[in-house]
Amino acid sequence: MSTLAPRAPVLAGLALALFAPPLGALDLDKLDLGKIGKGIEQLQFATGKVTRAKEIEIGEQLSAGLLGAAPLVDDAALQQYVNRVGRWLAEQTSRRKSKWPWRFGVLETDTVNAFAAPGGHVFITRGLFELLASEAELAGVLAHEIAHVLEKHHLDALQKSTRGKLLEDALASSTSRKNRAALRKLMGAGMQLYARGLERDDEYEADRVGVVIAARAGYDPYALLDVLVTLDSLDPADGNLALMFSTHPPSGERLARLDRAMEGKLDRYASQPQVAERFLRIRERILSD
Amino acid sequence: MPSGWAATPGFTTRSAELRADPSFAARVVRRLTPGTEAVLQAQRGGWREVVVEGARGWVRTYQVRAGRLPPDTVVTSSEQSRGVLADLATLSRSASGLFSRSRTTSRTTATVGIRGLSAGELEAAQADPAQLEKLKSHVASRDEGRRLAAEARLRARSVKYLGGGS
Repeated sequence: MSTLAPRAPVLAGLALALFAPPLGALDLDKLDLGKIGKGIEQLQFATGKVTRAKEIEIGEQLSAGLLGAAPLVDDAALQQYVNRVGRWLAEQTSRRKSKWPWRFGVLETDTVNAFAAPGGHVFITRGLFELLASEAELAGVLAHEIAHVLEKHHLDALQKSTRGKLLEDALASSTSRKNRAALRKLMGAGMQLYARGLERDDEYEADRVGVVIAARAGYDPYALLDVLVTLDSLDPADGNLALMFSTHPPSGERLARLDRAMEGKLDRYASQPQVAERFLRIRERILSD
Repeated sequence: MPSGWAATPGFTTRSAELRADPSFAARVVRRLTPGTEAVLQAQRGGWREVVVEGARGWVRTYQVRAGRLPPDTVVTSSEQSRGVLADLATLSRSASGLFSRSRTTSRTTATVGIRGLSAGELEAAQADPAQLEKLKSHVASRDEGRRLAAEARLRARSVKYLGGGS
């Protein structure tokens, strides 16, 4: 997996530190136990051993930040509907991950965008929700964000942008006060990450993983391409699109790549349901508010 | 579903290569510019059969839309035609009943007083623990998800992840 690449040096370095020099040859005075301890923490992170509880804790902190920028749409039926669609999608990932407490939310803002946070947190803005035409399109968007969670794109990006420091603090702090302070700092870094965006390759990967999750859930996976067509057709000068356009590769490029990756492999699922009626009834609720 | 499709008027929403068969390996019959009128025919997987000015061939489904090209629309073939295409795509969708109201016109007037989500607003955000609790309160159980799927006759499939690379 491509996400392993940046971790390799950490692994290699630790392997060297632990195994390469025969113990007798070590100058024990210079042996920095602290460094090795840090290396082990990094290794835990690098090998995906951030505990589930920690990952959820970090995700909750980032989610609280997003919700501070835009609260949930005050419509329980809408939120429950999106959670059910999302839960059904999450069940198609893996037995272990499907047991996570997946949480989905529609954010009250005209801005057109969607976000993910570690541990199973997924958000779509009302602005984007209103642009969609079917439940299959909603599923495409949610599945793209679920893919970011599965591939730990945000954890990796935070690890890189803070050189592992903030994540380490958040993971290692034992006392709850220290832990809270570390998580707060991590939230700041997370908000900067949302403003800056992930690596482009992460977005392409989430597209490829997302359409498979949607197909597994029984939806027409091509609905995500319909969403990209819609996004591509919007006026980029519209301020509500600025952040999404600046943090994602051009929709046309995403379309072309995704379509090539799907051709011959997902074509046979193109006739799966779009589920438009149920979706449009829900969408009417918020449009008529 | 190779047959049984009624011919539907439509047009290209982006530049597209018209191919002799539904495959990227097939010969390119013609290069189509955005906004080219086409008669949409059979669909096969991600491919749509179209007839353009007497030429028959296949394009990817996302490259065409059903509906009529709005009159006196000037379409250029360059990618800078995004603004014009914006109207095309919106119109085609509203024509097919998918858009109950025009987003772009109503939105701009409705945005006053509603918070946006710009880069600056994200960076200045303060955690909202009460909203986080509300988020948790809406979580769906596995059974609720399954019931929703069953109501729409969605069936879980076994599908392999697509290979890496792009």
